[in-house]
Amino acid sequence: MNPTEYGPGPEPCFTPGSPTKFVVPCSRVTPDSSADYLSGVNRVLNRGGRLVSLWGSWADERAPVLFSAFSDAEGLLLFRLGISALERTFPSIAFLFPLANRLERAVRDLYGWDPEGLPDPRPWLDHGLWTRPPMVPPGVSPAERPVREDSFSEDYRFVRVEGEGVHEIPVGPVHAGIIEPGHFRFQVVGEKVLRMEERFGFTHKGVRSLFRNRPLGEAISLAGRISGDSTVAYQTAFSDAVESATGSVPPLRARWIRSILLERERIANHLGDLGALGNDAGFGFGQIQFGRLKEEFLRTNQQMFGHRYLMDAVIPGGVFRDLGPGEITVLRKECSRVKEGVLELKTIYDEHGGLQDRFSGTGWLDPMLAGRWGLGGVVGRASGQMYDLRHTHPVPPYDKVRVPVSISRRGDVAARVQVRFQEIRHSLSFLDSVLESMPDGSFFNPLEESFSGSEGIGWVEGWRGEVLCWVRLGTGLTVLDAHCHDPSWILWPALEQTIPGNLVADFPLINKSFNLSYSGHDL
Amino acid sequence: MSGGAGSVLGSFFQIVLVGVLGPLLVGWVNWVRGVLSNRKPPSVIQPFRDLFKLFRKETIRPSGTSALFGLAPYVVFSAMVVASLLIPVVSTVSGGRAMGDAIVLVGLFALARVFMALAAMDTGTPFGGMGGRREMMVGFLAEPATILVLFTTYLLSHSTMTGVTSEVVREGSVLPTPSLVFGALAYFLILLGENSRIPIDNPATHLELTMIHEAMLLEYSGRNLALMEWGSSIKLLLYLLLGISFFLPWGMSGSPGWQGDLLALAALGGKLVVAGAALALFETLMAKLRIFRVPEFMTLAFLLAILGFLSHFILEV
Amino acid sequence: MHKILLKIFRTGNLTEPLPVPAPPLEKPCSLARGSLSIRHVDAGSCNACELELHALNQSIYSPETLGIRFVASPRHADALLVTGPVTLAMKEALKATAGATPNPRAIIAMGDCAINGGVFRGSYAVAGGVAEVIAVDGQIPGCPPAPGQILAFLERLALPEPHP
Repeated sequence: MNPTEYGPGPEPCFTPGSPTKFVVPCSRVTPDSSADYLSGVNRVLNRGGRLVSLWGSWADERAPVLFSAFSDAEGLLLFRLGISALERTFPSIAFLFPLANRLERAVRDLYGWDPEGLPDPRPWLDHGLWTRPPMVPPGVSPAERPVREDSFSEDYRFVRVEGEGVHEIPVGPVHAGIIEPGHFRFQVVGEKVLRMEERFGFTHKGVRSLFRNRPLGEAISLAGRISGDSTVAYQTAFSDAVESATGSVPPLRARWIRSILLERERIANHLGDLGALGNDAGFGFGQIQFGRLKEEFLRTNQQMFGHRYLMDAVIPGGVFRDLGPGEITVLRKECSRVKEGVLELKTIYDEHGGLQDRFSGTGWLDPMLAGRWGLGGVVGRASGQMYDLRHTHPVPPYDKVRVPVSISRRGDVAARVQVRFQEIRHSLSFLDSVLESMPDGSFFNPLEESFSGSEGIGWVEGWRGEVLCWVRLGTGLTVLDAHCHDPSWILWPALEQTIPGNLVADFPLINKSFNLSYSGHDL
Repeated sequence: MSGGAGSVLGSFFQIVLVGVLGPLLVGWVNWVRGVLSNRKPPSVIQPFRDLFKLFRKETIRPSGTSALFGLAPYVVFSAMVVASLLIPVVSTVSGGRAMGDAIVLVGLFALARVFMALAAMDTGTPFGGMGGRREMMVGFLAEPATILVLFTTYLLSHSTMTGVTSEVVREGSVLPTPSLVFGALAYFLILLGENSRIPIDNPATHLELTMIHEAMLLEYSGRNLALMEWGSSIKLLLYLLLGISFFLPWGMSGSPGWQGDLLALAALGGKLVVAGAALALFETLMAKLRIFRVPEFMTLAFLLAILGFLSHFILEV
Repeated sequence: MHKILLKIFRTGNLTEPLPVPAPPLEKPCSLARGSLSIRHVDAGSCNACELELHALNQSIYSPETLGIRFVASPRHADALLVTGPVTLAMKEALKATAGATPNPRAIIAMGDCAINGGVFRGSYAVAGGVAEVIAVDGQIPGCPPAPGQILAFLERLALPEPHP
């Protein structure tokens, strides 16, 4: 499938102390001790940085490492904390960044390392089905793992609300519609929700372990199937990571085609969401019209790029297939057709009283909370946060063809609907401009040789939010370890904060307006 | 014609007719909805295929349910069958005249509703309880409005017998009286609420937290499910038939005799076709109301019913 | 409101002709003709198969013409359509759902992951396909299978040949 002419190349660019040769400014910090780490993270917080991701890895069989990635005004900041193989603990930063809570619990479940100072003793991804922490390499004896009796799904200690007339409604993991599995526990009085708590891990497929010692061709395929609806974002981020690890640069034309694919994925998902939101409010007309637009869009994807959801179209080194002039004309015509169709539907949605009644005021996410937590993606932007990687750290062609950031300050379901409409419009204009001014050149550059231990990072604005991929390569372009971060890690806690005060019957609508990933989250 | 073998035969035919028209009406509404959804619609007889299949499927009784759960489908279905005898379908001289007390009718529907809600709660699942609770809320709000509409029609015909009321309206002038118009509007809203149609409930929904009617049926299977679904389709038909007999009775036969009945059947068919299509159109254009707006919706029905009631005194006496 | 009606009218009938039905199943199922209720179970899929199922329910494919509909409860279902490689966390849920489905019923594995684990084969957290957990009556290959392929398979299921 992939061209495999890889020759020898220069030194790895990801060496300690030097900035990664990466399209987005990225600097690395290697704290010497836990105290160093905590003070560093504290500094990040004080300077207004936000948490992007947190994960663990075994650099080699004897050296566990904790990574945490933050974003500040300059770019990405990567902390790399060595963990003592004997003690196997690390300091929890959940008191500084509350969103680190679940990420650290996941690290604890997968690696058996204990986060010091983490207030939440409950497991997260662990459903009581593992005999040892799964990411501990074979041959290394796992740490003394305290037996947690609340591992099993039935024994998970949800926070209960006591009081007159309060009852508990468990929903899931199997839901009535066609949707991924996840568990939600509601504490309600009548129809009003007092508290909602999530439990995930049902789609945990052990992806981290599948990346270990994997040939690149298989690894990129796997990366695209962690969250099938964000396959382009994941594969772009993964390819960026591999390219930065090997010091390779894809041709400009390939970057432009990648942006086309990314925006097409964004548009397709937004079209689907807008239809589904109408349907969930009982307005089937929306589902039919948006469904029609999306289906035509997907068929064009199949015709141009060989896959309806564009899986395996982005590969490290470039893209899999080029676009001919005839295809470009077809794509441009489609853009104007879709634009017209969406505009018409926007008018209908805006003028439909019943629909607006369902959307307005429902599921309000406090912009202050969104700001404090640094939420990005559609959800963050609908609550007034100006985070969009295409705007703040533009990679070609986003630096030439600017995409305006779509934001709304209202923070309710209606705001998320509006942001989606705006983003479709902006993406369609972007596509038109990019297709008109495609640079010449090849669509693929063979990768440089990889050295054992070279690491790289990719960071892409997917349609939900920021997708981050980190890889460590071995020789011969083997992936030794990789971590793919889904923006849903950051956004699921925001949903928990949004639901209280709403009606339980509005939950599906609010959940759909967020439309977060279960599979991308569960790894 | 008020007694004897003829009326027994007539009643039997009425039950069979209603039993067949119920699923056919649902099939018709779905057909129109399909066309309005820009798709090739399912066959009009699809509900019959579904029912035949369900009757042949295994009936599973969930653990933890009591005898009430197994009894409820039969109670609900029987209540609908009995109710079908109390409503004038093609003629106003059938049982609807002698025993079709509208208040009894309301009671029969309430019986069905209560059993359905109780059986749903019997399952012990959270959705059963939620569905039962919501159904009772809608019913408890709809019943006063229904009673008030019936009082209005009583004032016109001085009888609560459905057959008599139907005849009085039919004999009266073609121009609708204000009280009847208000009553018809109120009745339309009540019909939507009691039969779990949009904007109260979405019969096609897959969102378990928004369900009202569907939530109560989640644990039924096989024969029990078939009876419940059939009963629900008959309920919709009966509500429409009652509305037609009160507010649009022209075309019904007023004298015994099968020729009149056949003509009336044809007229009824036409009316049901139009009513079903209108329902499907309404559902396509509307969205579902937020659940706390449901009481407002039923209060609107109540208000319209009061207006009808009062306007009789003010404008027509 | 008139805009909506006008749009409906101008859009017209979107449904395409049915595809050629898939080849007959190895073991014929005794499902009823003309009425097929399907319960979807996500046993850990990446969500691409679910997107294709949503696409299947659009007006372009219109599966209701075959009497196919997706139901909310396994007790209402004739067939279970399972996606995903069956994660260990969903194993019991899948078994329970299958147990709640009344006979006659069919279990269908949709997508490469459900057939043999797909790209997730070999992971400690997956069972590696629906067949590892419960008996499977039919398969729809693809990553993800296109709605046309799914419809062709369901067409075969909804209109089975009569058996002796």
